[in-house]
Amino acid sequence: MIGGSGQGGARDYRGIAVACPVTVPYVKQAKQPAHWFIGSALRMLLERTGLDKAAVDGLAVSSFSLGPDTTVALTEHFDMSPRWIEWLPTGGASGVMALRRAARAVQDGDASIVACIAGDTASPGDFGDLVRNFSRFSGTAAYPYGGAGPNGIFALITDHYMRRFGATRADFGRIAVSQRVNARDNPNALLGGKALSLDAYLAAPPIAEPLHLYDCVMPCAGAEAFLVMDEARARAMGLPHARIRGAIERHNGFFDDPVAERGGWAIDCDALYAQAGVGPEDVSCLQSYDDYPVIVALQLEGLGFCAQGEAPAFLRARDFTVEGNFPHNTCGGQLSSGQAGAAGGFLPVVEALRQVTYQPLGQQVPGARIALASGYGMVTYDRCLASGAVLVEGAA
Amino acid sequence: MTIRLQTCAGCGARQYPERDLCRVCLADELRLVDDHGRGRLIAETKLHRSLDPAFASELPLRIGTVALEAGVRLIAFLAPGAAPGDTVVLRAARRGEQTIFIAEKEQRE
Repeated sequence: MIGGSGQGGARDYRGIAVACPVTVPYVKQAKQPAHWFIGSALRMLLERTGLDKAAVDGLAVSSFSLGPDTTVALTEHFDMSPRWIEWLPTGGASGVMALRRAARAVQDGDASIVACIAGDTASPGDFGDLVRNFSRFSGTAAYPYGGAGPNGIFALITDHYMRRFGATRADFGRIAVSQRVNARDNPNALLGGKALSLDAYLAAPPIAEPLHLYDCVMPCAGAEAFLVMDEARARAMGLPHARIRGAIERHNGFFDDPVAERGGWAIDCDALYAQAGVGPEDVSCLQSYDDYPVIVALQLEGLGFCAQGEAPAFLRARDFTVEGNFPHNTCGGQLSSGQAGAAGGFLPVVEALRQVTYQPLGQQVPGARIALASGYGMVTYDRCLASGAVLVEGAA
Repeated sequence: MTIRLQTCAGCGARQYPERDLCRVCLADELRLVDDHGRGRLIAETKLHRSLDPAFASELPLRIGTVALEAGVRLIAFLAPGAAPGDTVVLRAARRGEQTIFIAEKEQRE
């Protein structure tokens, strides 16, 4: 075991319901601050469920642009008095992490109904400011080398992966192109109306070679949210919901790898499926964290769909569209929807919940029963530190 | 050619980026120690865009990941001719108020 201990023996998530996927429409730029997006998500949760605001006694929030505020300040903005709050400054992993924490709070009786919300605003210059001040290490040891932000770091990871495992740009292009097909009917996907061919993908201008334009997400504003509560309550309220079959997280896994070529999922993959009592073959759709296509490859490998280094062959052999034999990022993912800051880290969980409860924004995976949502976040130096995954199953 | 690496006087671990305590044993006994700066270039990228206007006139520019023989990794600018797989040697230089590293292909005698 490299980079940490296993998590055998983790209690299951029995009795917990995840419900009410909501999305505050994405926009390229916004005048409203993050508080507006998060509050709008909360309002949508209440409208959809008929819940009174006072009944929400737990609040978990993730955001990059809420500063200097955190979750506790939002309770004042929204006149709430919750008995449990959580703050998740962990970006791409924050959806899985919020779900895990909220589920335990409800199991333990520390909260009855938890609103989990991620939201961010976006205005010109915001992204550069975020990158410049993202972490001490990135400020001293990454940003001075060209100021490219995550594009530069993930270009190095992609370059290494291509050399080590023989992946080609066209392999990664399959991810971007299939997700653009999936985004077609999703009104929230900012790029959903723009068809993308493999030729256009390959001909795109270089950003940080080997990354080109369609390997990179477009920063935007928006929010994603869901509710966590006791399953009996969800049933009594008549809410379509999902159960949590298994969930994992890992931080700073494989820290001795000179370039990231595995993510923390690989440490805990067996524990995830053991807890769930299912295998990768039982997954109806995978919602992975697609900040860059190479990270999708690491998730395919780390989450047990293929062995390390075999993602390129796996990509060539499967159809990743909604109606294909491996439905993946069925709303178009961040590559087609845009990356609404930390909400990008909630998107896999929210889309997984949409699919197994048959509430899609766009296309529905036929017969979806179990979805796997994955997260990956926080490039504090030369890789993301936080990884996690959750298996949710629609409650019949 | 040498660079200086943070080294723990307690357990001998070397580390980069610089930290406040030893990353391995957490001892408060860090020193800057000379290192020959030799390592292998394991990944490269050519940057065509930067978030920082200060780099605009220098684009495209190449950076890479170097795995030092000292057991740490770092990101460095790449001198012309340095390619992945090469043994490289790091040179420290000043850029504004910062010390930065440039990786050059090792010249064999």
